[in-house]
Parts: sequence; structure tokens; C-alpha cells
Amino acid sequence: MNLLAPVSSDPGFAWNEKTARHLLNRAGFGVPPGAMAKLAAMSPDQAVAAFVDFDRLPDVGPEPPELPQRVDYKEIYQSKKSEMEKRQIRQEVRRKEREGMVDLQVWWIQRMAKSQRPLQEKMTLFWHGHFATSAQKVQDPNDNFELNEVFRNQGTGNFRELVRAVGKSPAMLRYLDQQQSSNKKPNENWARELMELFTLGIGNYTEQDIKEAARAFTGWTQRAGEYYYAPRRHDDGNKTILGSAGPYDGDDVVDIVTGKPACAQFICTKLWKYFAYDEPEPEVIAGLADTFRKHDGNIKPVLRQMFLSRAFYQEKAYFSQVKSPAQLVAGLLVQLDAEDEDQVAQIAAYAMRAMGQSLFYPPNVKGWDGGRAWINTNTLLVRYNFSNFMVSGVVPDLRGTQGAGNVRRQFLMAAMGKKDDGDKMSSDNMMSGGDNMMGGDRDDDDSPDTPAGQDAMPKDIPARTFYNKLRERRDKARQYKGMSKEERREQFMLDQAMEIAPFEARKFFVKHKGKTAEEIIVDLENYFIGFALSDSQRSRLKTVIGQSVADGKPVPVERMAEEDLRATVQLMLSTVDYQVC
Amino acid sequence: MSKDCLLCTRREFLQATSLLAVGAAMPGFLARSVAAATPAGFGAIPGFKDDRILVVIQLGGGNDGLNTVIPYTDDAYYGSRPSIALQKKEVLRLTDEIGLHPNLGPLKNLADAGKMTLIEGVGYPNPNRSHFRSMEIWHTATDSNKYGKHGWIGRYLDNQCGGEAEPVAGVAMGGERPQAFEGDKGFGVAFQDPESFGWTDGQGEAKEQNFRMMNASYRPDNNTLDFLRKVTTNAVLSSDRVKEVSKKYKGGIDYPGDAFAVSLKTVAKMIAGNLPTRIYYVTLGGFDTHANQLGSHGGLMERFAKGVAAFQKDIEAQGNADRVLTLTFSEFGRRVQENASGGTDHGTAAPMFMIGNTVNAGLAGRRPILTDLDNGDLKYTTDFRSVYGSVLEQWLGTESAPILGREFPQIELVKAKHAAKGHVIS
Repeated sequence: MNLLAPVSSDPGFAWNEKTARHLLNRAGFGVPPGAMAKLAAMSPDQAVAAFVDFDRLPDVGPEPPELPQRVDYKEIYQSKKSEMEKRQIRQEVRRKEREGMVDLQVWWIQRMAKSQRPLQEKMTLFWHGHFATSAQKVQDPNDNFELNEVFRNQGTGNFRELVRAVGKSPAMLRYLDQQQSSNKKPNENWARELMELFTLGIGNYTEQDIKEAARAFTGWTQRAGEYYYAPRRHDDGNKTILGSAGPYDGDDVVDIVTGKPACAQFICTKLWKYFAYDEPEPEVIAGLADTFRKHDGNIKPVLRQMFLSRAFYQEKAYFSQVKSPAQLVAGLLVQLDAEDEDQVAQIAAYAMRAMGQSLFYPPNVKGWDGGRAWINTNTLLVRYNFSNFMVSGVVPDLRGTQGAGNVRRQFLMAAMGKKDDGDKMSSDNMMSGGDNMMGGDRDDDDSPDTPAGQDAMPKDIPARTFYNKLRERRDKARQYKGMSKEERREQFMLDQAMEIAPFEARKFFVKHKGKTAEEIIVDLENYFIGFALSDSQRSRLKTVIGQSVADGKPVPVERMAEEDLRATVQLMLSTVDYQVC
Repeated sequence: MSKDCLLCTRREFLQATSLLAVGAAMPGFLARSVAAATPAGFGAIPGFKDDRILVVIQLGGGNDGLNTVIPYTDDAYYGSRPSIALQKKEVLRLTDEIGLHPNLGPLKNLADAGKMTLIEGVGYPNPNRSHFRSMEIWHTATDSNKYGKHGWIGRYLDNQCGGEAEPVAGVAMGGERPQAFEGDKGFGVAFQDPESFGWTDGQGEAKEQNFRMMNASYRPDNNTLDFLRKVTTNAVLSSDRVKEVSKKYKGGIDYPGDAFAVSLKTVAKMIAGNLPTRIYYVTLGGFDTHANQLGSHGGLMERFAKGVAAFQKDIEAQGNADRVLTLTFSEFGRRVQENASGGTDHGTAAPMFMIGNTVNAGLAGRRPILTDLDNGDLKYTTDFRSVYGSVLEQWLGTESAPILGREFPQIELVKAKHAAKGHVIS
């Protein structure tokens, strides 16, 4: 069978809810309510077009956050202020920059969960991991945002032009030290990663090619957050790169490199692994690479072919991927139809860090390893506990109980790897964090002689920044005046819970009215998991949801304890089965 | 060849896994059953004369070796560091030439008591000055131009055992599993706090026992699911064990309240409770001192020394001091010349410390010469893999070449009478 042939050419192929779910999971971030049936009712071509031709759909994602203005550090350093003042200014600037990064993370998570163009966000994430830059080193949120927008706007366009735009983005110019490169002292960092990680892969170039390419790129730099070509720093001599010779500049190198057959192979392999499965058949990659070249390096035809191919819907492709933290978190937001998304997304951004994927902070220039590397004992428990938290963030009758606050605190504690110190309300201590692997919250000055990329340490956004934002909101909302200590305490708990009530169980279960426990479990299984759970799992869930109900009788959903409904969903989401897609 | 080794308790593991399903209704039952199923208590390891433990302390960010062990008679030191040099009168003298940072008092006491070895000038050829890459080199113990996936500890643990992995053979404090643990058999768990490491009950029936039941069945039909089930099992089992073990700790030793000391205290708890762990991994971060480093580095020195001293005191009080050896490292030292911001940039070679009752106390390695620099950086004199290799052979009693890829010169780091049996120092 021709694996890349379109499914429509296969008379035995059925387009149904199973295939629709697969497409929703892979080309997007999960299965929103109702989407599966809607997509299953289309033809495969229409369904795939609904993802790939996203520019026909309105952009309803949230507007980008307002970011702090760019700061010219030189101006600060050269001013007549005292060292102390300069340091204070710098610290203040850094604080704002970090907050800007948190805002960006929240914004992007919301886009993943809410955008009508999920593939656009999925490709943005793909390129973010491919052309990895970290806000650890690229500290200005504006730079990070702009590169993210390049991925968003050009991510399914022409690869050659994408490489060019990335190479000229201030974020990349800084991250791989291209801005410091000059004819006198060419820096090879960008030239090397361009060939090794961004276009060709190891084995398809020589050290000499890198040296020559680095010379060609001299002159590419930036000024005040804009790409700038500095002719006097450019080496305009002859270069020999990948077998061609000439007085090349950076644009020429981009053309040469992206025109190589190895590039088409390299990119198509990586796309296939990201969307479909590991270890693709050689004929699949050969075919996609052919399409890539035929369309002058345009990505969209490759994606369309991929999503319509028989290979993409082979049995082995289904549920073979470990969800990335982004996929898990965005998927939960989508599927649970979370309320108060702003708040939840903030917590989600924070949780993703504990799961090993802090957006805008990939660990190094290779991006995230992905797949099974997402999983260790600690991250897996954080994933279960996060799902748990999403569902049980609030107790309906809060007054008189301590449930909500505790659950939240415990989750945050678990995520932080900190001890829950009982009743203490201020979460300041727990959020300020301990030592992470490298640097704690310490500021990271660019070391002038760090061959970067080669980057600064994978440090995270300080938890304090995150928490301060949470607290600000809460303080705004609460009115503690004139209350007794006990009332204040209750109000505090309520406020906390209100802020984070992501899941409305009763509303969610209303559509299951009149069904038996068994039917409800199957419904949920179909909605959340997508394949049959084992008998023992099912019977366990049945016991939980239908505790007070006789077998085979409809479950009086409207009269059931909300906590039973929640517990059912919680347990379903805290399975290994929910970790794959 | 299947080595008979407690690290790889296949039978116990399988037993425990099935217990996940049947025993789940009894909280705490599982951990106790597992404990009961183990022949001779957790500690003893067949093939080893005794049950030895290595604690690795990672000083993340690149610790400034020259302001840790100060060559206080060397004019080149003072010449290179006009604003951040530590003065002769304040250093804690170890010899006529070198002394410790003034805040390393507790470490100096250990040195005076014959419980510390200082290995000078440790590094590797063609040093890399990226935190990430250099850390990777230290973790994988590969040459700096080679990329490895597996870590040296992972290879050690893999090498010790032919069967299933005992997950807690390696324990890393914190949320990340260090690359050093990476291996074929998936040893090693990461957690911060015994109490919060585990499933958090939700509402109603969203209880741990139900969570376990939901994840107990084998998934032979789907590799990925089965992998996830295994890690879930590991997480649940280890969290049980860790909690159980943690309860046995009597305490009584004062630790500082910072995260590093708390981590060491947790390690002491695990040791007291005989968790079957060979390697513990603890990190103290913040050493990337590019600016105004005197204060910040001094604070880190104090935290480091106080934490380590409290830990040593604790294991001595437990009677475990002959079983535990502590080794410190950082991904690189810092440049000799201070920079314009009162700090130091990324450098190369640096000292390592070994602490314990059984160390061959004193100085090892060779001091780099401050006037013989490579592009402004110290030339290393001892390959860090010589240190790893010596610890593997003399402390853990295993051949080092299969783990490190080749032989590195042994340094006499462990007292002869404590050196692992069969080891001959050449």
C-alpha cells in the first residue's frame, strides 16, 4: 500500500469519530465538546482543511498582553546615577520583564486552548521547540513575543523565508550570539546550529562549511530590537559553502542551506515525528520531502498531505504519543470547559514548569526532547495532581469546610516540591521557591564570554512573580473589612476557591441526564480517553459515580453529590490512559 | 549474566506491582508488605562487603573555586582580583599556601577532624564554558566533544544489576531527575519532600486507593501505556516507601532552614530509615556569580558548609558515618581575572571536596598555576573522571572502566582500611 496516498483513495477507509479525534489531538490540542461529531460528519478533505486552511477562520484568540517597553541598558549604565541606583533600576526592569514573560505564557496557553485555529498554535509550538530560544537569555519579552509571532504568522508558509525571518529576529540574534559576530571575529554559533539543528542535521555539512557560513553571516546584527545589517562588520570575501563558491552573505547561505535535499528530509522527518509517530517509514519521508521541494519549501502542502495520508491513520499511530505538558494542559482547559480561564491559565503556566515545559524557556538550543522524556516519577505525579486540581479546585459548599484551599495548596506544594506547612495562609514562602537545578531566582547576567547556545542555564520564572500576580487579583476581589477572624478565614477560602473554580461538574454532567452509570462511564471514556478502559477501571468508576444507585437504573445526575461527579472525572483523568493521545 | 543484587529485586517488584491492585484498600499495607518481602532489610547488598552510600552535591551555576579554596600567598591571585580577593588574614588556613573561604568554618572543622579531602584543579580537556553543556559533560562523563545520553550514575546502577530496576536505587532531591541518573533500566526517582511526593487526594472517592486501582493493570498492547504504568508504579511505590522510611527518623540534629539543608536532612532521614538507595543527589544553585559576587558567594559558602556539617553530624549520630561518603562538584570554576562588575565569568578547573569518616583526608590533585593560564583560564590537572573512577572502585567497589568508557588514573581517596575489597591502588 502506498502509505502517503490519500485516505480517500482507500475504499476500505472509514472517516469517523475515531479518525476525527486523532486529527483533533494531533493537529490541535485535544477534543473540545462537540467537535468530534462535527468533524466526523465532514469529508476527510474538509476536515483537514478546517485545520490546515486556518487563515480562512477568524482569529478569536485573546489579544496579546501589554508588554513593558524596551529598555536600553546602555543608557542606564552610561548615566551618571550611582551604582546602587543603577542596580535598582536594573532589578526593576528585570522584574517587569519577568512579569511580561508570565503574561506571555498565560496568553499563549489561552490561545492554545481557545483559538479556532489550533494548528496555527500547534505549529507555533513546533517551531518554538525547533528554533529554540530561551527567555533565560533573551530577557526582553518583546523579543520573545515577536519571534513567537513569526512562528504564528509564517509557520505554515515558506520554510526558507521562515529561516530568514528567524535568523533576523532579535531573539535569535541574541540567543546564538550572532549580534556579536564580526568579520574580525566571526561567531560560529548561529551558523553551526542553523546547519546542525535547524535545517540539515549532523552529517550533512562539514566544520569548514560552518566556518565559511559564519563569515557570510557577519554583519547580521540588531539595534534597539530591530534587525540591522552592519556592512562594515561584514566579511565580503569569497566563501565556499556546501560545494558552492561566491562572495556570499547571510541571505545567500539561507538559500543554499534550505535548497539542499537534506533539508527537506530533515524538516519532514521532524514534522512527522511531531504530528504522527516516531520512526517513520522511509517512503513516507521521501514522499513528503518531494512535496516540500515541489512546493518550493512551503509547509502547508506537506501538512495537508500528512493529515490526509493513510500512514497518518494507521493503527499504530493512534494513542502512541505521550502528551506534552502543553498538550495535556491545553487539552484539559479545552475538555473541562474551564471557567475563569485567566486564573486557571496562570496556574497552568506554573504547573507546566513543574511538568518540564516552561513556555519560552526551553532547556537549550535543542528544544525539548519530548516523548517519554516528559515523564519521570515527579513530573508524572505533578500531571496527575494537576488534573486533579483542575477538577476539584472548589468545593460547592465551601463554608465550614477547608477543602478547596487545601487542595490548591497541596497541589502547589506538590508542584513546588515543598512541604505543606499546615494552616499558614500566606503562600509567600511556598512560592518563593527553593533552589532549582542551577540558579534559584538569581538574575543571570549575560556572560560576555559564554559561548552561548551554549546558553545560560535553564532557569525558570521566579515563582514569586507568579504568586504576586495571583495575590494581587485576590486582594482586589476580597473585602475583609469588619469581619471576624473566622469570617475572614472563610471569605479567604471562598475567594481562593472562586478564583480557581475551573470545572463545573453539574453543568458538565447535565447532558448525561437519564443515563445509567455504565452509559455515563462510556460517554466519559469516549470524550476524555478515546479507547476502551479495562473492565476493572470501568467498574471502579461505576462504583464511584453510582454509589447510591441501583445497577442498570438511570443515575439521577441532578441529585447526585457533586463530589461524586467530580471524583469520577478526576479518576478518569488521573490515569496513564489520559497521558497519551 | 544476572547478578544477584538487591538493587534489582525483580521478584519484589513484581510482587509489589500486583499488590497495587489487591492491597490498595489498605493504606500503608503496600509499603509494609514490600518491606517484609525483602530478605535482609534494605541496606545490605550482596557482592558488597557493606552497604555504602554516595551523596553527590552539585553546586549549580559554576562555583568560583579560587574564592572557595584561596591561594592566599599567591600574588597572582590578588593581582587578578583587586576587588573580590579574600584577604590573607580572613581565610581559614589549610596549609601554608591555601585556605578556605572564611564562611567555610564548619568545613574547616571537618578538615581538622580528618574528614575531608580536597581535590584541586579538577576539570577536563577542551573545557566548555556553557553551563548546560559543561553540566552535561559532568553528568555523562563523556569527552567534551562527544555527546552521551546516559549518565555515569545510571551506568553504574545499570551495571550492578541484571534484572528489573529498583527505582529508589538513586534518589535526587528536587523536581528534576539529573541526567547523571539516565540509564537503560530507569533507576532513580526525583522528589523534594517525602510528605508531598505522591498522589493528592481529591474530593469524595478521588482517593489514593482508587487512583492506584485505575492504574494497576498491565498494558501489553501499548508500549507507551505500559511505560507510563511502570513509572506510575515506581512513583507510587517510592512515595510509599519514602513516607514510610521518613517516619523512622528520630531527628535531634539542628539543620539550617534553607532548602539545601532541608534536602540534606531529607537524605539523612532516608539513610536512617534504610531506604535501599546507593546514590543521593542534592543541588545547591546560585553560583553563577557574574556580578557583585562577594556577598552572594559568601552566603552560598555559608549555606554549603553549614548544611554539609549538619548532615555529617547527623549520620554520625545515626551510626551510619562509615557507610556514607559525600562528593561535591560544579560544572566549572570561574575565570581567574575578576570582571568589571565585581564578579567572575565562566571558567574551567575547580576544586572538589570529599567528606566523610572514611576519606583519605588531606590534599589530592594538583593546584593549577595562576600564572600559567589558557586564555585566561586555569589549566586542569586532574580529570574529573579520575575522581569518579576512584570513587567507583574504592568506595563502591566496582570496576570503573565499563562505566567511564576507559581507565582513568586512580587517586587514593578512600582510607586503605575502608577501601572496597579487592581494590588495589596502583
